Amino acid sequence: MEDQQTGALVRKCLTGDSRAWEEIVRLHQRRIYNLCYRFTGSPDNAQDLTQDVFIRVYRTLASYDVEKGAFTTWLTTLTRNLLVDHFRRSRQDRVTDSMDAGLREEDDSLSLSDRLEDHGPSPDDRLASKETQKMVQAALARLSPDLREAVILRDLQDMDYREIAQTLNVPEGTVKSRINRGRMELARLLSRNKRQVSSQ
Amino acid sequence: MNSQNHQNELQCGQFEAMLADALDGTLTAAGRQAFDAHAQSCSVCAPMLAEAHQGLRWLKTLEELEPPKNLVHNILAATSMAEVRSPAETAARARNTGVRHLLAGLLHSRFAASFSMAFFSLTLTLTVAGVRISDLANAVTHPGSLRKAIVLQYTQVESSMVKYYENMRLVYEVESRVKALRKATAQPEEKERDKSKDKNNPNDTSGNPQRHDDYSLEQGESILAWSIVTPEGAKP
Repeated sequence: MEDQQTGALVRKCLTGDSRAWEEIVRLHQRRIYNLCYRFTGSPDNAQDLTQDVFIRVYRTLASYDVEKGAFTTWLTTLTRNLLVDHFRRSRQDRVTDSMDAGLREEDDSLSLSDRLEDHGPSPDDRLASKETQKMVQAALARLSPDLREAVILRDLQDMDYREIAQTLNVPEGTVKSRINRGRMELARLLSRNKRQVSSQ
Repeated sequence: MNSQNHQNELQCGQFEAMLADALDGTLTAAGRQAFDAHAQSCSVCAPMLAEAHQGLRWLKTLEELEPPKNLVHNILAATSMAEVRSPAETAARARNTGVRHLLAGLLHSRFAASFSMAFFSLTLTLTVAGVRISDLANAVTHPGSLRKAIVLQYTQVESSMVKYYENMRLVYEVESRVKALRKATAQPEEKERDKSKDKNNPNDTSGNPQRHDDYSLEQGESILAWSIVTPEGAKP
């Protein structure tokens, strides 16, 4: 339904309707921003990349074939390509131990074990806390880009396996395998940190 | 019995392939039964399932973020600029971007400070040397006039140096003449004063002390003679 709506907006936009373009931006900016943020872990980079994505969309909108596939998949593919480019550019400058840095920033409040152990607030409250989200985001940043993009598209963007396979240009079996490995690696990273902090 | 066979047939590879669907809850009843049975019996796959489940739970804690409020506005502003821009302008912008990247490195604070100091020094030197920037600009725009401007500048500097030297020579000459005149007028007065002194006290030689140049010579000679006459063994 959303894609049909976007398809109509794209057609209007191609005829020069600026309101249609504004509507497309409003419909999709949140999803693209979140995708960029979860992949880069930086609000500034996410904002810049989201802008870049829409600028590129605007320039290449004529190349989008409504009959060929969903607009969301096309947009996600374009975003993913920009994210990969950004990752390659910034690979040397990347702080691979961002998780440790993130944890050090929070040393003043509670230790990691305090946050992960079953005491204090209820599990649901703890899971929803911002600190937990920071830890998970930091762990996500430590995953390899292949695994990271797969789990983000599946678990955070709620895309189905077929769409993810189209976006990443790999078979569905590979997508599922990457998602499984991404989830397992994330759990291992978080539990390893928990053990390290507990042993200190 | 059928499900029993299904359990036995399920291998670790199949279990892994079903893992994502199992966590999504999209397995068939039979598939779910076989999956659960394998998870309970296999020491490799059971931890795999636990970790994948835990990882999924962690990921689901991440909430959707609110984008910055100005994001839509910025996107629309950026794309409206892209709309107005022609292909030629786009190419020019790409070139400018390259130049901007180059300048970004050069305009680093350290380089900027060095450049400003160098510029200041150059400007100061040119100002002291009497070179005007407008002249240089003309010279650059008309390369033929560059040599003419340099020769003219050199001639001006040379003539001013010669003038300065000539002036200094004149001053020294005048000064020396004045001194000579003073000396010439002062000498007859002194002679007259000396004559009047001699007349008053002819034995007084205090005003004209005798020089004893030969004294120091005699003393030197006696020391030399002593060192020649005295034998080595006669020394104490």
